[in-house]
Amino acid sequence: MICTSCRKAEAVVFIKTIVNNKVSQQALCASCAGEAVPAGADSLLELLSGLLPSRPRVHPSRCPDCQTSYAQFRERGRFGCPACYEHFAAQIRSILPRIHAGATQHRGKAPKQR
Amino acid sequence: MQLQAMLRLKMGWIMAQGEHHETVLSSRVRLARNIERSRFPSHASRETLRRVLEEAFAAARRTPLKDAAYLRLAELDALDHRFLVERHLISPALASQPQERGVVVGEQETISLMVNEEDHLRLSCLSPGLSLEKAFRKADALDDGLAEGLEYAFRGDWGYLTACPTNLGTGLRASCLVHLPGLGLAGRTGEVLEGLSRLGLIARGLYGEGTKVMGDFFQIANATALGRTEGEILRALEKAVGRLVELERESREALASGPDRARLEDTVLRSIGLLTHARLLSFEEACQHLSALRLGLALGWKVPGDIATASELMILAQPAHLQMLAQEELAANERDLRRSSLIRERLGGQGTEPSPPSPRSGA
Repeated sequence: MICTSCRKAEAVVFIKTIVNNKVSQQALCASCAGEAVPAGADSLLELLSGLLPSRPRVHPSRCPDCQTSYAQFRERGRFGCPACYEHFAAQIRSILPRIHAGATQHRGKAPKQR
Repeated sequence: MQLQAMLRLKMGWIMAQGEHHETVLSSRVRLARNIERSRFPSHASRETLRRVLEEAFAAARRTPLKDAAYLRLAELDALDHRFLVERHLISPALASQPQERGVVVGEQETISLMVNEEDHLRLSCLSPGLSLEKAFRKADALDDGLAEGLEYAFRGDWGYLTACPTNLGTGLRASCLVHLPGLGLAGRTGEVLEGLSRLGLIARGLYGEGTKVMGDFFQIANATALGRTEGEILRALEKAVGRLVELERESREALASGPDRARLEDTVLRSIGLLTHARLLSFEEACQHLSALRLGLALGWKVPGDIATASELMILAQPAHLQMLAQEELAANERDLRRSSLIRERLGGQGTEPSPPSPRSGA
C-alpha cells in the first residue's frame, strides 16, 4: 500500500482514528509517520501507547521481588522496592524525561565505598 | 505527653541569623535514601520495617548523631506526634502510621532523620537564613556517615532509588522558607511565584504539600532531582531565592516610602493591636497578624517583640504546642484563649494594655 500522505513510499504504519463514531484511516510511510509525531512525544510508539487508557497488555508482569505491577505504579505513583527499577527499566526510561525536565542521567554524588 | 521537655529547648534554626533572614527564615536540605534489597515502607512487612528501623538507628549512632534523641513513634502518644509535626521534625504521613516508624532529632532540632516514611530514610538539615550550602554540607557528611553502616539502593545511571521516581537521582529536595508580605500587600505574589515555576521551582504554603498558604509564608523548592549535581540544584535555588529577596525588598521599600505608607502602617499596627489585645485568637488569625508584626520588625519599626520571637510564636501558637504547654488536651476555644494570652505575654506584659507603638521613620 502506498503512503496516503506523500503518495510515494510504501506505507508501514497504519493509524485508525475514531472521533464521534466517524472512522478515518491513515497509512503512512516511515518518513511521514515520523513527521506525524507531535513535538514533545519521544516516538510514534510512545504516542500510540499513550492513546490507550490503561495499557493493560503492554506491561502485564509484576516485579518479581515485591509483586507490584506497572499498572499499580501508574495508579499510586510509587514503586514497591528497588528491584522495580530493574524490572520496569524500559518503561521508566520512557517516563523519566517528562518527570525530570528532560533529564535521564544522574550526575550527583554516589554512595561512599564501604 | 513524653516530649514536654522539648518545649524548653530552643530550635536552632529559628534564630534571626544568616543571610537575608528578614525574608528567608530558614534553608532546608532533604536527602531521600533507601536500603538495597528491602521493600519500600509502603510495601514492606512489619519485620522489614523493624529491621530497617534498627539498622538505621544503629548506623546513625555511629555518626555525629550519636548523642541525638532517638524516638520510636509507637512509644509516643498522638499529642507527641502532632507536636513533632508542628516542629517540622516529622511529616504528617510518618505520624499517621507510627508502627516501626522513628525519627532521630539532633543538634538543636536542626537535624531530623525520619525512618520508614515514604522512603527508608529522609534526612533533613536546617539552617537559619539563606544558607543552603551550609545545610547541605551537614546533610552530605551525615549521609556519608550513614552509608558506612547501610547499603543504599543506587544505580549509576539513575542515582539513589526512591519510592517515587520524582525523587530519583540525587534524592535532594532543597527548600527555603520565605516571608513575602511586601509582595502580598502589593498584590504581586501570584505573578512572582508563577515566574518561579518557569524556573523549575515549586512554591507551596507554609506546611508543605497540599496545604494552604498562611501569613505570606512560602516554601520554595527544586522540582526535579535528576540530571543536575547537588551543587547545581542548590545554586539554582539560591539564585532564585536571592532574586525573590530583592523583589520583596523593593516591594517593602516602595510601600514604606510611597503613597501606600499609611496602608502599610495601618496593616502592621492593626495586627499588633490584635496580637496584644485580643482575648481569642485562632491559629490562622495569629499567623496572619504575626506575619504583619514580622514585617514591622523587619522594617526596623519600634514595635513589640523581635524577629526571632515572631518566628517562634508561629511554632508555639500551634494546637499541640499549646496543649503540651498546658499539659492537657484543650478544646478549640480554650486553645484560642491560651494562644492569645501566650502571644500577649511574649510581646510584653500579660494583661497590661500597652500604649500604641509608634513607628520609626524609614524602612
